Amino acid sequence: MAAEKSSIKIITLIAADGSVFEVEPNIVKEMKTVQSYIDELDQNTVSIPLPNVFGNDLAMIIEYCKKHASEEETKEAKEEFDFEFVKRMKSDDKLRLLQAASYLNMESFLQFMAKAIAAEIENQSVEFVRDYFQIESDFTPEEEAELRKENEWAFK
Amino acid sequence: MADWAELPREILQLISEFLQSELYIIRFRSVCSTWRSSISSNLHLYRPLQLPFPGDSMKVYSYANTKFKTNYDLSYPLSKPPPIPNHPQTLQHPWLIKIGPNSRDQTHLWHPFSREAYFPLHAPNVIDFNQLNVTHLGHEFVIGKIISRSPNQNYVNRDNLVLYHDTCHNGNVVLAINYCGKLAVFRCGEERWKIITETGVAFTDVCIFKGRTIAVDTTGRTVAVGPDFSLDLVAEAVFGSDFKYFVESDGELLLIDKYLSFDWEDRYSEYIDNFVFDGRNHFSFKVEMEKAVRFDVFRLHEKDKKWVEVTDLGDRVLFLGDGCSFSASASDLGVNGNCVVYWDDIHLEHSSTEIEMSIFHLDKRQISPLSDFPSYSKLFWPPPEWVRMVHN
Repeated sequence: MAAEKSSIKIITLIAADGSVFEVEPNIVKEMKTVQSYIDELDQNTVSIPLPNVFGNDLAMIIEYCKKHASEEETKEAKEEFDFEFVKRMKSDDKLRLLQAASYLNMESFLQFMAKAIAAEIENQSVEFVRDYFQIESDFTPEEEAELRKENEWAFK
Repeated sequence: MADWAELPREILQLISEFLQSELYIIRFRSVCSTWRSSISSNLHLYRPLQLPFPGDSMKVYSYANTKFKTNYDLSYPLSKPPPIPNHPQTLQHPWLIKIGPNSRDQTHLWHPFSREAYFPLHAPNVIDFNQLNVTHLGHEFVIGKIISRSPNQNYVNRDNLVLYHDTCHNGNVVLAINYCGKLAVFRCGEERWKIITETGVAFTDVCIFKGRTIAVDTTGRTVAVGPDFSLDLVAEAVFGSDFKYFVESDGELLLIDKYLSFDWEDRYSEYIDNFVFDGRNHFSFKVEMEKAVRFDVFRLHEKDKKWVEVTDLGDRVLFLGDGCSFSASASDLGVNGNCVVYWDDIHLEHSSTEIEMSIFHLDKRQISPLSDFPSYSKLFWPPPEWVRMVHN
């Protein structure tokens, strides 16, 4: 069984929009959702549909995984890459990538995205965050009053 | 499109763990009821701790409560300027404040540079953070007054402390500098401090940078403290003056090297005995004054393990206060960048809001009183007009 698995050379990932990505097995190690497919299948080549991830996002995730899986890259080069990666993402990208990371069950990429989103919202007003995540306030008037109290700080 | 109100609780928690300040957490919990119920309002690191202070025999002598104070940059959201007739110019300028408890656990607005001076707010003394843009600029970790029967050289310097979470041992650790300039660590839950450097040059500052606990000595030699308290070289020495401070700026670690001149200055007081009466209902005495005469700024080059001199900080303003340093974007503050705003009298107890600050411009390499530059000095005191308006 183990010998058969190691003979898998190429993994084919099919995104929601039909775009196809061929990657080496070490790239998808971080994607636990994909990995569990591979472990179940008993074939030399596998092709895995990912109906919840768009092609553009999958391309970015694969780029991230490739950089971080590489043994030739230094820690500094990876940090530099992360820095540029965050800069390149638009607000919408961040949310879709967070969701994709959650769906693919990628622990370290999920952490990375959560940090990027925290940085995006931390200096912003509640209204901004609601708009950003397209969330409507669903508080009752009593809860609203409680919130207002929490946000108002009295100083001696 | 995903329904973000229904994000899994684990993901919401993960995001909230990266939010640096209590205010951000409060705001995060104000978005919707799911988010509110997913995130606890307590920050694990920010609760007061009790720390023992080691005596000669390294036994526990006393405990002191520790607290956090946080520096913020407040400004009114640009999208909704409050209507203040005839004062359009005062609308938008932000306010630099520090929020934290005093020794009796009352929350104060403090002068960002001081441990003693707080900003008195007149009624209504309430600020509604929901209406404001708040930028977290940094926090300081403060140990309360040390009460001990046996003052001795093992005491830690209250100005240079960091608290961090040691993931290897799953506990909080305090890294400090003792009065001999040695590094001392304290693991919460244990009974004693441990001195981790025995010989060598005195340390002058500690900080946390990119998750690493870092210390610098008077030569500028910089080390990282590992989970087993081993020291790894981060940067070679740069020498220069004996007063070196860390400040983080835009994701980079900077080192401020402060050159001082020492002088005697006349001071007057109505309270002090044993000094010469000057004939004007005051007693005069001389105090030794340290005045900064020059600053050099270095940037950490992590790969080369070197401090590289910086001659232009661009849009950044560096702030150097009593036991705390932080930086901000000059354009966010509505001022020009490339300067260090600092305070000389850090060893004197100041309770007034009128702290005499100075500014060092890196381009002219020149020091001036901050009061010569109203656009900077008004960032501190008095509060901008909008503070009064926020509550109305």
